[in-house]
Amino acid sequence: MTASRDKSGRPIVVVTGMGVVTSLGSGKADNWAKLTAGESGIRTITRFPIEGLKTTMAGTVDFVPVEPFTSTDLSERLADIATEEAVAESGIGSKGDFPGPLFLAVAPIEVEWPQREELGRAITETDFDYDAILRVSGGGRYTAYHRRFLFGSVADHLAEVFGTKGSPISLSTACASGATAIQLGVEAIRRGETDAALCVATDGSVNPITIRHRRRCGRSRRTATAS
Amino acid sequence: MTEEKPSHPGSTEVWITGIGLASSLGEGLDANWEALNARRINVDEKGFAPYVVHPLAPVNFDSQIPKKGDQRQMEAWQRIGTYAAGLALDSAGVKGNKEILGRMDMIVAAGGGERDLAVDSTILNLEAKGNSAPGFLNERLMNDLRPTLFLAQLSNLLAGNIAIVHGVTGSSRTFMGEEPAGVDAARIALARIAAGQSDIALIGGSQNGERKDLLVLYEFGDFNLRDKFAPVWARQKNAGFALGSAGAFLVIESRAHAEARGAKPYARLSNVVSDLSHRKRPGEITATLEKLWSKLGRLEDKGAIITGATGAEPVTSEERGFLGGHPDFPVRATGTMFGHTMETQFPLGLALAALSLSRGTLFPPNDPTGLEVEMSRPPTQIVVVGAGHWRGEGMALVEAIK
Repeated sequence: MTASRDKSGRPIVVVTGMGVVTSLGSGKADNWAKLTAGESGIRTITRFPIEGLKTTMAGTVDFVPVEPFTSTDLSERLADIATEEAVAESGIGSKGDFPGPLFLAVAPIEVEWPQREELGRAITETDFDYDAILRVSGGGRYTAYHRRFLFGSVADHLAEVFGTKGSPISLSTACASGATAIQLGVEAIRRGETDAALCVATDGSVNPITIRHRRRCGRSRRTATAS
Repeated sequence: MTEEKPSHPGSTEVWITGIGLASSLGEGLDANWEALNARRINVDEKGFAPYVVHPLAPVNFDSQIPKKGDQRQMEAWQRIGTYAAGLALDSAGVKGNKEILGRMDMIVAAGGGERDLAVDSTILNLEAKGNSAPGFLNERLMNDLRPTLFLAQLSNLLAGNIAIVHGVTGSSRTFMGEEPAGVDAARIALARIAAGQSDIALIGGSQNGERKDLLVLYEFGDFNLRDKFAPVWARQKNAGFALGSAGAFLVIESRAHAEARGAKPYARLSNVVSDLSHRKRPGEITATLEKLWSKLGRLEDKGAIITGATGAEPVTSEERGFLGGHPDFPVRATGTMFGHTMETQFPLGLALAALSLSRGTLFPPNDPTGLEVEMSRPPTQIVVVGAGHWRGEGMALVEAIK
C-alpha cells in the first residue's frame, strides 16, 4: 500500500481528474490527438473585425457559442466545460456537490464594448459626456450587467453549478494565476482543511482591447484540474 | 448553502504587528483615530452628484513612494494601496529590512483598473454620429489608448507595485471578487501562518472610490447611494452605498516570529471564517452570519462588533437581524465613516479592530438610529463582520493581547 502522507506528515496530494478546452479542441482526447498530430490552434481572428489591428492571430476558441458575446461569458463557459470533464473523471462527490473549495484563476473583468455601446445608444442627447453614460445605467434596465461584470461572478457561477464548499477564491496573478490556483488547493489539503479542492483556470479574453495592449506571455490556455 | 471546514486556529498564534491606513478621514493611525473620536465624516455630495462618495483625504504620496516616476505609472487606486502598504511596513518596523521583506508573503484584495473616461465618451459620441463602420472601434482604440493603459489595468499590479516600491518579494497573490476577496486574503494568510506554511504576511487592499466607471458598474444594480448622505443604519428609505476611497494593509506574523525580532503587537488575529450564501431565499444571509459566528471560537463578555455593512439591501436588513441576536456586543459600521471601500472594507475593519484593542477603547458610535451604543469598558475581543453587497459573508475574531 502506498503511503498517504509525505515525510513531513502532510497529506500527499494527487490529481484525480482533469479537463481541458483550448483553441485545439474540447476535452483531453481531442486535444491530445491534435497536439500529437502537430496541429496548432493559432489562427486568424474572426471573432471581431481586425482591420487596423497590428495583432491579427490568436488561439481563440470559436466552437463554443456565446450569445451575446463577452469575454467573461466565454471564460465562464470554458470553465464549465473543463470543470465538468475534470469532475466527471475524478468521480468525486455527486452532481452539483463537490466536497471542497474552489480556487479560480480568471482574467480581470470589466464592462466590454458591446455593452458600453448599448449604453451609448440609450443616450438621447448629442455631445454627451461620461455623466450621461452614468445616468442611463441605473433604473433596472441593465441589472444583469452588474452581476456579469463583478470580479467574483465567474467563481460565483461555478460554485453554484458544481456545489463547491465555502467562499470561492478568484485570483489573478497574470501568467502565474493557474499555478497559484493549484497551489492554493494543495496548501488547503496539506493543512487538513479539506480532502479535495477544485482548481480551475480560465481565460477567454481575446477582444480588441486585450489584443491592442497585450504584449505579455501567452494566455490562451484553458485548463481545469480536480485534485 | 455551502460550508467549509474551518481553518485550524490556535496551532500557531498569529499577531497583527503592522497597520497602514489612508482614507477619507486622513493618513495614518492617529489621524484616523482622532477623526473617528470626533465623529467626523468626509463626504462629497456634489462632485459626483447625484451619487455620494467619500473622497481620499490629502495624502503625501512622496513619503511612501519616493520616485515620481513610480507614482506616475500607477493609477490612483494603486498609489493609495502602495502608500498604505508602506505605512503598514513602517508600523511593523520592517520597512527596508531586506531579509524579512524578501520572504514576506503578500495577499492583496484588488479590484480592477480605471477606464479612460474621455476615450470611452469620445468613441460613443462618434458612434452616435454614425461612425459605425467595421474597424472604426479598432482604429480609435489603436490611436486613442495609451499603450501602457491595459497593463496598468491589471488587478495584480497593486501587488506588483508594492513589490517594486517596498521590496516585498515573498509569494504574491492577488484575490479579486469584491468584498469576499478582502475576507479571504486574511483567511488564507492566517491559515498559512497558523499551519507553519508562512511566518509573516502583508495583507490588504485599496480602492479609489472617486471613479465614474465604478459608479456605472454599481448603478447597473441601483446600488449607489443617491442625493444625500445618511449613516449606514439610516438608509432603509434610500438604500445603497457611498463608494469610499481607502487603502488598508496589515502585517501579520506568528507570535514566535514577532517576539524573535522584538515586535510589539497591536492585537491577535485569532480566526477568520467565510462562506458563500447563494441568497435565494430571505433569511439566508442572517443564517449564514449566525453560522460563521458559531465558528469563531470562544466569545467572552467584553466584545464588540465592527462591521463593513454596506447600506445596500436586502443584505443590510438581514445583517441587522443577525446583530439583533447579539445585543451584548456594541456595533460600529465602518461604512458610515469611510464609505464602502469594497475589497478593502474587511481589511479596514481588521485594522480598526486591532487599533481599538491596542488603544484599550472602542471608538464612539456614529448613528442616529440607536443601533450603535456607547461602550464604556475596554474591549478584549472584536468581531469583524463583512457581508458583501451582492455575495460573500465573512467574519474575524481579533483579540487583545494581555
